[in-house]
Amino acid sequence: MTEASTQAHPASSVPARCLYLYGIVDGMIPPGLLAGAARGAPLEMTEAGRIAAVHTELDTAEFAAIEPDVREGSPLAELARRHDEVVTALALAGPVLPARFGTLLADRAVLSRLLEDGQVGLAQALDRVRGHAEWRLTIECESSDDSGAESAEATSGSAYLLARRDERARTVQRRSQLRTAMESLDNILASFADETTHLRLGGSGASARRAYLVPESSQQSFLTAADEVAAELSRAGCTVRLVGPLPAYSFADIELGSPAP
Amino acid sequence: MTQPATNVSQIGGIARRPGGGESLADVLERVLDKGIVIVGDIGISVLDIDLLTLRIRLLIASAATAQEMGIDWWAHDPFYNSVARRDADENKELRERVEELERRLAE
Repeated sequence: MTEASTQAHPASSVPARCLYLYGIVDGMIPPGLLAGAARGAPLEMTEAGRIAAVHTELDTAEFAAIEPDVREGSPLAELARRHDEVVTALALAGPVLPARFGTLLADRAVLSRLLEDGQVGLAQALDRVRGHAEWRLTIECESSDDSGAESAEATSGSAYLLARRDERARTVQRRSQLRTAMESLDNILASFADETTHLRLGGSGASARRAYLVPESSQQSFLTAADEVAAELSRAGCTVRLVGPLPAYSFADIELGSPAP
Repeated sequence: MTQPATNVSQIGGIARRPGGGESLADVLERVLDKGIVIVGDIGISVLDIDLLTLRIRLLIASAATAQEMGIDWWAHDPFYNSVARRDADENKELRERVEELERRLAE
């Protein structure tokens, strides 16, 4: 996703109340669902053609004081979970393009202008995720022991060097095996998906992450295949984690508005 | 999307936890890093999301690195971890039940 540069507004231009954007949906969301998704301030919709933005009004100051406190129960945790709950509730009724956490707009006039300008692309994006859910795969494998502890027991210099060489060879072999097993799992899961994000490898090849956009009709097959193929990685000491079905966060890489000149 | 519950499954011979809750780190990563963004000066920036995201990533990465080094006290500390908190509550409840049963046996 292209990261947007955040524009700092002069304090005097920041309104006391603003709109918090949760996401973009089809125009006809049942009002009962909006009421069900709301906790605290009621959810509202602003429509433009066949799309609509779901938002709520809040005190701007509620966001201004957020600290990067990642403990459960912190203001950040509460707001992030509320954002996710609303987006997830909207996804139950139909396609949704989630907005990034903390997306604030001054008023409905500004929001309407954004929707009018971007409605063709947003409608196409909604069609892409319609009838799909996101599944996120995370693989974490135990790090290979390349610490040299065994080598330290070698009594002579040459024995030490030989032991280190053998350890490195085992590490390379193990990483290669893990990489092959990860790619095998990924290839199979990707075959059930209509879109995927890039495969992100980390931890010197000992971890991998990817998101899949899976049609509802394929989800059971997707999960069954995941279970079968992941067994090999599990035996190799890896933890395979699959989270879903989620709203299509990873497939809503859309920028609204015009970059500042 | 018709399935209501988010499943967090550890698969491949490891126990499934259908309907299990997600960690805060998972939720934060998702909502801070993905989705529609407003560019230019049309949005209100009372919060520097990019900076917040970076700081949270550093915090989470630090936690992961510490865990790799075997430093994971917060994973078992009820103050910092909801699972540990739940386990602590369950332990307390079980201890009370055992005491109650022992009392009855002694009578």
